[in-house]
Amino acid sequence: MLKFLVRRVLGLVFVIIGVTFVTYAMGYLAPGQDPIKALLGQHYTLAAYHNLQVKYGLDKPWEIQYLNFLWNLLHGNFGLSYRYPGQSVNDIILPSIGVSVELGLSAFILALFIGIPTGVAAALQRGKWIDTTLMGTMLFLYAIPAFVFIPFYQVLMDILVAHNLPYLPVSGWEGSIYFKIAPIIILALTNTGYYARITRTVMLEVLGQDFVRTARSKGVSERAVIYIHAFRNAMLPLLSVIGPSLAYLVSGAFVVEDLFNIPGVGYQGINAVFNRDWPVLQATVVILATAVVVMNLVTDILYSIVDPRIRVS
Amino acid sequence: MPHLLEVANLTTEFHTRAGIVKAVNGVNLFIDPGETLGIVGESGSGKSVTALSILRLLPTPPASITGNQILYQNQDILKLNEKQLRALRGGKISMIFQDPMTSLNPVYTVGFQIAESVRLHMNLGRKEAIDRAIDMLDKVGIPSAAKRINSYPHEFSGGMRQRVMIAIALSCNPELLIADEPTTALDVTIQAQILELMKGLTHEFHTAVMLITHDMGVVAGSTQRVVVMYAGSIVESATTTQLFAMPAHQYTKALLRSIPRLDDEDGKRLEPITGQPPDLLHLPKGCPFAARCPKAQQQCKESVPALTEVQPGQFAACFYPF
Repeated sequence: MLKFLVRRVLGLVFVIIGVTFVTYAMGYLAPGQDPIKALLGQHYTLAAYHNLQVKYGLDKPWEIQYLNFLWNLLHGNFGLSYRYPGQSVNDIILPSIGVSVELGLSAFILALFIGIPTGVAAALQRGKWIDTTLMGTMLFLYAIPAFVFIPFYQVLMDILVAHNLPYLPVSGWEGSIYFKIAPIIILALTNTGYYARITRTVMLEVLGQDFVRTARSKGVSERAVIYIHAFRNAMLPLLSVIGPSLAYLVSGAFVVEDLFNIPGVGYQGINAVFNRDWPVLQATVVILATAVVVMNLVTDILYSIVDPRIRVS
Repeated sequence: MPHLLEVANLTTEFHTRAGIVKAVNGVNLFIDPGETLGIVGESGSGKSVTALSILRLLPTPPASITGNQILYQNQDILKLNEKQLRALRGGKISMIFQDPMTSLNPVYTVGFQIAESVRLHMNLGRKEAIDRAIDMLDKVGIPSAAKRINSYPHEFSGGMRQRVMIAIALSCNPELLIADEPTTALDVTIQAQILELMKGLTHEFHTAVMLITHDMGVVAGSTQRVVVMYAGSIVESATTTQLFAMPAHQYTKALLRSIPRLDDEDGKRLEPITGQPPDLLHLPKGCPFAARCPKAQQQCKESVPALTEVQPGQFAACFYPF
């Protein structure tokens, strides 16, 4: 087990290094205005230009720039923002991580607690109207993207305001719990549908297995057949889907954060794209990649806890 | 002496898109305490469905059981509620299945799976249940049972897993063990071991056995009485000795003829039964075997022969027995 872990962690380090290289290369090669000129504005002296170039490390050849970038990254320093003079990327990105984690984790838990029981219930009622209704609803949630739900929500709130009815805010995050309700629910919708549909498929497959019949033949109650015998087996395929999806949820819900003006990683990432603020964008991508990679590792570990067959090999 | 189990006019149908599949068609049979009854027949003859119907293990729908009754010690299994049914399953009547590779839950230890049964039916605590599980594992011939109790199914071979299944099935001293082709998926040498083990243990516990198989050799070696099934119906029922000495139904005779014998002369060709069993969606009007039967007459194609006693203790559903 320890050997397995060490090997996996080493592998992950290389994946992350690869990601940093690709993001760095994209930032370096991307067309556009010289960032130093952009910072200085229209009137500047050559000396000022050189000063800044040295400060940002842009006077060095690209391979040295990349190594510097890696070295700083190792020390938890993403460099300086091209857009906001004097601000480090850390100042911009670190507070946003907490916001994204809060949003993503809440949405994840909500999706999990609604999606999985819905999927189990549908599987148990297979072919009946409950199944059809639940799965139809879930397909709807899964198919409709957040950028469609959010305008509908905003219009709905508008109508509530117009009629002097209680309403929820349509923008922002900090301040009160009311700001957080809608973004969390809307972010959870897609995943709820996704988890429910996958859970149903997996449960149906497991419920058709021979060992489920064995359990019934032993006189095990239907409840125990489902939750002890079937569900534990269904968890294996579920884990491999749910683990990585958590990474995407917590490392930046780009659309939801942008449309609700929530200062999370996704919001900063999108701003960075429009501002051509490559260091910030690089930080966003590295955080996203790290989250995916770490969640994959966590999934593998959980896998080996749930499935004894993996534990041995 | 009353029968341990009596199945009266059992009919099990599957409702499919293509129509109603009559998998079991008016089956009557009984088992006495401590006896071993063989049920033989080819694939699709309704053996397994009969067995699964007895414990109501078929998913309904698509299956529906419309039999008169399945009497177990004067209780009609078809009328039991969920709770009573659960007490019966595993406690009074237990079951072993064909494929030991898939019949055990891969994510729990064999100890858990044996003890689970024991705790449900024998009113024992966790510790006693584990002791009982070790005891059973030892009885089915698994070495160092106390250690192996913590092993998972994938750490056992096929034969060993079937031993574990037997341990589960017999752990609560059931009065009837339904073994649905317990050796079909195993190597021939292991088959013999498993059959011997079952014979020994069921004799020791005085458990009646319903042994479902398509292997006449298994029937000859392990059973006292045999029921032969064809296309969802019983075509012959006799003591094992009678059946092999003097099969009455033409299907049984053809079945026995088709088995190669050690004393056959060299180069003798096998004698298969020509044709196919009837489509269970569209059963023929007359005897289901008529189309393949060398002795069939007009009468056979028009009406279904009833199971009648052709000699004391031997019943055949045939107009022209022997």
